[in-house]
Amino acid sequence: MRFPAAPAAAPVLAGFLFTMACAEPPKPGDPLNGLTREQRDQFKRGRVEFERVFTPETGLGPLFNANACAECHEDPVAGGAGDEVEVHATAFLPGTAGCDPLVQKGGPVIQQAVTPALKAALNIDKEPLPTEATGKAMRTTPDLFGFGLLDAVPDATILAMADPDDRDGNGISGRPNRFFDGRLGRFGRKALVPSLREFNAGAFVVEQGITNPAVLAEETVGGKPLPQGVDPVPEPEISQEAIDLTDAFVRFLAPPAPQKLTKDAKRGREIFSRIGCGDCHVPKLRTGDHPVKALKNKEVAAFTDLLLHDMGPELADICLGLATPSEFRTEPLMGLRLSQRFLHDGRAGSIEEAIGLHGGEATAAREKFSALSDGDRKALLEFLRRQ
Amino acid sequence: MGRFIYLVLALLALDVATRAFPSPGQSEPKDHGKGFEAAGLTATVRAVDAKAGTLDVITGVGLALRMMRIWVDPASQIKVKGAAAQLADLKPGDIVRIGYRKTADRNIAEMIETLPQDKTGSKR
Repeated sequence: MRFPAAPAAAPVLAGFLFTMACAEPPKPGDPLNGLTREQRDQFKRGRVEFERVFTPETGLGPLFNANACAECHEDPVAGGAGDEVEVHATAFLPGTAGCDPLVQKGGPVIQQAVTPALKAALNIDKEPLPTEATGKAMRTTPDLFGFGLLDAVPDATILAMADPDDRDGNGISGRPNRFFDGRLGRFGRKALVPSLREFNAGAFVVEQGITNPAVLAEETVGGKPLPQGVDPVPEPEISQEAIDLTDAFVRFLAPPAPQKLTKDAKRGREIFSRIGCGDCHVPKLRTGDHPVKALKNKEVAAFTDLLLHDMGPELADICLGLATPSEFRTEPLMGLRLSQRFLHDGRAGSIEEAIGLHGGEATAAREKFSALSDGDRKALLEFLRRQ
Repeated sequence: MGRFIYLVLALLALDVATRAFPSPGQSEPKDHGKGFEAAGLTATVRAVDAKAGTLDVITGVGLALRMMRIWVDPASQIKVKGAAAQLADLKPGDIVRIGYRKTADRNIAEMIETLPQDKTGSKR
């Protein structure tokens, strides 16, 4: 018997079988499936840049929070979360100037370490907190797994989820934040920063004092220029290639695959939607067209709408952009099982404690969670612990 | 073991496929970047000093925010909502597109125009 269609079917069969053989679920720190050889090479070389330790002689500081990206983003592997907590400060002046990020006073990121040269020059151990600040924020180090996929979600997808005036009457009024040029923001706890590339380039400067071609100027000390001689390495302190490779590493980090759901966890998934958690922690987003095939038209189990929501006065800290002190971007829950501390400042030691602190727009969902039977509550937590 | 069997079968199928359909070379375009304008920017007005002829705007990259001072001279063209305007017509919070030239110590506006703000209808 002849099968004339066999050669035509063979590539399809080969593709399927290779997928079955090779497509293991990514572990934390793994790259996305489907990268080209060149992209995988960029990822590996980018990890080297991400782990590179800077010293004052190679450009660290003079103001900084860490001497390497991986000093903070390290748990369980490079690109992960960390136990470091940093300080942000802004001034909220409702009705007049709105939110002042205190750029002229060194804000919004207030660096907590200085190089020996800056200490000798100014006798300070960290950047002073601006006296004009009306709020001070503590910010934990999130993991970066899957952030390339979040970056690839089209603006229109995010905006379609916004309902700032709660027209549908469900008590949820997510709204976008905007960067200072009007572009939709999505990165950072207040969703200020529009793109992953910009977040990474800015982070080199504000976290390590490493200038780069996108940001050629060092941070000031409370708005005052740096004293002479404390910043010996000329700008930019790293090359465009190093920035590009670091960006590739972060962009190509895969989200950790959720663990297989138990029967209880499946029930928990249904409860998650039923009580309204999914109204903000939207379970799935879809990326759009993208030049990187591994990021193009992909479904992401992100559990976020990337919008701002009022979380109530107990969690309020700083304003930023359009975000008021009590508004925060919905935290992505992908990789939640890898976290040790929860919420933007790490105040919650467990998922259950974090849920208990949800206020504002999340009050109804929190109350429904509290009203669940023990069994249902455990099922929901079991679902979340498998993400 | 199951995975190994799949791999062997895949290799066999691929052998058939490559004989029937030699695959052309393929390369992925490089990851795209998002660039920033030279001698021009879009930023948010922080302060206006009509008497001194200056406009302070907030710009930046990621959380590396920067304040820039733009000087306005009689030749600077200013538009608010598409209509010719004066420096004093600009307000903190306006998003503006600025074209400027750099001198030794100043950025001098050649044109400033306000841009439409986000119309999300927020009640806040």
